This record gives sequence, C-alpha cells and structure tokens, in this order.
Amino acid sequence: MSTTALTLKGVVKDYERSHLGRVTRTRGLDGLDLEVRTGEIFGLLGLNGNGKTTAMKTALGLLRANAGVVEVFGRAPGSEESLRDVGFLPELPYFYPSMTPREALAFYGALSGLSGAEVAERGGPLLARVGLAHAADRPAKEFSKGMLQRLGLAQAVLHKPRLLLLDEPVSGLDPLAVHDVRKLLRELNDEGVTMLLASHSISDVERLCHRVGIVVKGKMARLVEQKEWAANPGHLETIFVETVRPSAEGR
Amino acid sequence: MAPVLILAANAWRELWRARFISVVALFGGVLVYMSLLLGVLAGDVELRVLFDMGLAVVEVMTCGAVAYCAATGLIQEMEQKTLYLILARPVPRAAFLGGRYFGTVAAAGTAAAAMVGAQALLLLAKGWHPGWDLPLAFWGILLKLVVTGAVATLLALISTSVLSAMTMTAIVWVLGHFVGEIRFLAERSAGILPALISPAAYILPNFALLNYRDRLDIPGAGLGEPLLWGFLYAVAYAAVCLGLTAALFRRKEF
Repeated sequence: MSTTALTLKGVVKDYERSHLGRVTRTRGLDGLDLEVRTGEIFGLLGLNGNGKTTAMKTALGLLRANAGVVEVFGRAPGSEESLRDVGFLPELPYFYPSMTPREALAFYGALSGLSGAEVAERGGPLLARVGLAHAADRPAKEFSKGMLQRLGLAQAVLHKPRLLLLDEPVSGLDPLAVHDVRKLLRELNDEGVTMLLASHSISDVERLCHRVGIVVKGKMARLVEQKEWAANPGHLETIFVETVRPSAEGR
Repeated sequence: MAPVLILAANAWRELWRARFISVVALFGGVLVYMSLLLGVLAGDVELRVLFDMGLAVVEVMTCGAVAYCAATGLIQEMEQKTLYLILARPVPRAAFLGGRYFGTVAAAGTAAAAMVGAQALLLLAKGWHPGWDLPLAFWGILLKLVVTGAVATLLALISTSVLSAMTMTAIVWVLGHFVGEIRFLAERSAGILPALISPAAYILPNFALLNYRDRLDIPGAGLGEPLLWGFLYAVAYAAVCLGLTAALFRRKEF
C-alpha cells in the first residue's frame, strides 16, 4: 500500500481570464511541492490567495494543473478511483436549500456508491457525532454557518474516505463548535483517516497537525515538523510570520 | 443506483419544492378564471376555445419553466458551489449534467401532466367528449420540453448570465415554431439572403414537427409516421445539444 496519500510535485496552475479577446493570467500555484503521508494530519498555512484552496481543488480534479504531477494514492486527480477515497469539506459548504441533513446524507452517500442500508446505518450516528441529530429533518436553509459546517463535515466523512481535504473546517464557528470539530477530526485521524487541512487558525493547526507546510505565492516556502513547535507553544506562529512576512510586505 | 438517476431524482424534488407547485397552482387559477370568463364570452365554441387556450397556456408555462430552471439551475450550481460536493465524488461530469437535465425535464413534464389533467377535468365538467387530441397534444408538449430543456442547458453553459441564457432560449423557442416559414423565406429570397437564412432553418429546432394535434384537423393525414419521426427528431436534437454541453462542461474548471 502506498505510504503517500497525496503528492503534488512542481505543480503550476495559472488562472486565465479573457475579456474582449484579451487574456490575463494569474499564477495560483508556482511549482508547489507537497506530500501528505498516509495517516498524518498535514496542515497548510498561508495568506489569502497564496494557493491553499487551489492546491485542494487541483487534488480533486476541479482544477487542472498546467504543469507538474498530482497523484491521490498514486492515481490521477479527479478520476473516479481517486475520488472514491477522498472526502472534501469546502470552506463554505453549500447545500440545496430545502434539503434536510438526513436527505443530504442519503443523496451524497448514494453518489459515493453507498447502499441505502449503509447510509441508514452510518447516517444517524454520524449526525449525532457532528451534533446535528436534533436538526436531522430541518431544511438546510434554516441552518447557521456552524450547522452547515457540521453537515459539511458529515457529508465529507460519510463514505469513510482514506483522505480528507478540509478547507478552513472551523472558520466562523463558535468556540464550542470549534472544540467539537477538533475532537471529531482527532478521532477520525485515530481511526486512520489522513487529512490535509488548510486553515488560517494557527492554534488549530498547532493542536491537530503532525506536519505543517507554509505556502507563499503558490510555492512551498517551509515545512515544519510537529517537534519544532510541540515543546515551544506559540513557536509555529513565529515561524509562520517569519516565513510570510517578506511576501506580505511586498503585497 | 446510477449517479445520473440519483441526480435526476434530486433535481426533480428540488424543483418541485421550489417552483413547480406554484406554477401548477398559478395555472389552476388561470384555468378556472378562463372557464368562467369564456363561459360568458365564447358562447357555443366555449369548449374549443377552452381546449386550445388551455393547451397553449400549458405549453408556454411549462416550456418557460423548463427553460428557466435549466438555465438558472446550472448557473446557480456553479455560482453557489453546490456542485463542489457532487463533483468531489466519483460522479462523471456528464452524469451531473444529464441528471440535472432529466430531473428538470421530468419536473416540467409532471407539471404539464398535472395541468393537462386539471384541464381535462374541467372540460369533462363542461360536456367534452374525450378523444386522441388531448393525449397527442400532451405528447407534443413533452417532446418540446425535451428539446427546450436541452437548448437552455447548452445556452446556460455558453452564455454569461441567466438573463442572456433565458433570452436566447426564448428566441430559439419562438423561431423554432416558424422554421417552415423561414425555409420558405429562404427559398423565395434573392442575393445573399438565402445563404444567411437557410442555416438557421436547419440549426433551429423545428417545433412544428411536434404539433401533432394540428394533424388531426387535416383530413386523411396519418399520425404513425409523424409520431415516430417527431420522437426521433426531439431525442436526436436534445442529444446533440447535451453532447455539446457535456463536451464544454468537461473542459470547465471550478
């Protein structure tokens, strides 16, 4: 079995916009190297617009790299085989307004190839685990941001993926929800789920991740091992600031 | 279950919850109002007027609804990013498109069936004797929904806004009812005009082929062949539109 869950090697991604025949290019990823090992939680830190979400979308096949290699468990990104093993929580998970959590899990579970019996067996306990059991039959349009995030997490893990891609999983959540989500992610990792976690919250990354990559202008500017900050609380923030400061001053 | 069926069932349910019930209710109100009004105004041709007007309302409302839902649905999925959670799963992009399309057409078809059913009840109450004309007209409307939905889906992907997609679909829908006239115009024109007009006559969907009920008014006109050709034409036209849409959608990034 591959020890690498996700590989991005020298990945370049240019966004092209065309207006009245004039094409403008913006570089999203500029030779990004990233390797997420099986079983770890890898944190991705970076300023806005530096390529964290682009890296995730490239791994999902929602965006296509202009150059470089992207592999998910050794397979091409976006292929049906690779997507079976991946769960994705976008920064703002949108659901159909009238869909209830129970219906959402049935829908996304079926799309992931789960049978009705499997969804029924996993859905109820999962909704309880993310704290949505009381709202299982309420439409998503009535949900707060925190509830949508919890439902987003439930849909991402329902099919028991081997790799979870989490884009700002605790963004905008209240402290209790942050605590619950963090606990759930730790439990899932203990169960063997590998995670790539993009976040602006250094404290969450510090508490959850085994390794952290700091992305600056689409490049991996620094890799940090847990031991570098574990004995020295707050050190990750210092490393982060030192790494991104030069590029931030040039903005 | 295949992803395309799961997505179609979901699109059908979402559309019924969001829009189609109100469309049906609106039509019910229009129908009742028409029957009351025409009872006074139409005299001895009340049934005929009620029949034709009712079908025209069903066709315009459901084709308008299918165009609106196909155009807005795809653009909204992209803008509101609901498609992220779908395309991040092992779902082929063509299945996503097909599911949305079939669900939208099925929802509009269900609404059309409900409306035609309500109209039939009203006509029966007024003394109408049922024949083949209503089922044939309903079948023609269903095939128009198949074509209109596919055209709107294609135009939604290549246009920049819902408004432009809707406007272009409406233009295609109207012109599609005059393909025979456009061909006639091309044949009778001189100079560069035929070269400009003729392609439109072949690119536009020929909705006149699907007006089956009109053939009942032509003495001796058979129905078997037009029914078969109309069906094949509608399916082929929709398949070409959806094939083009799928090819474009495959290249799209989100």
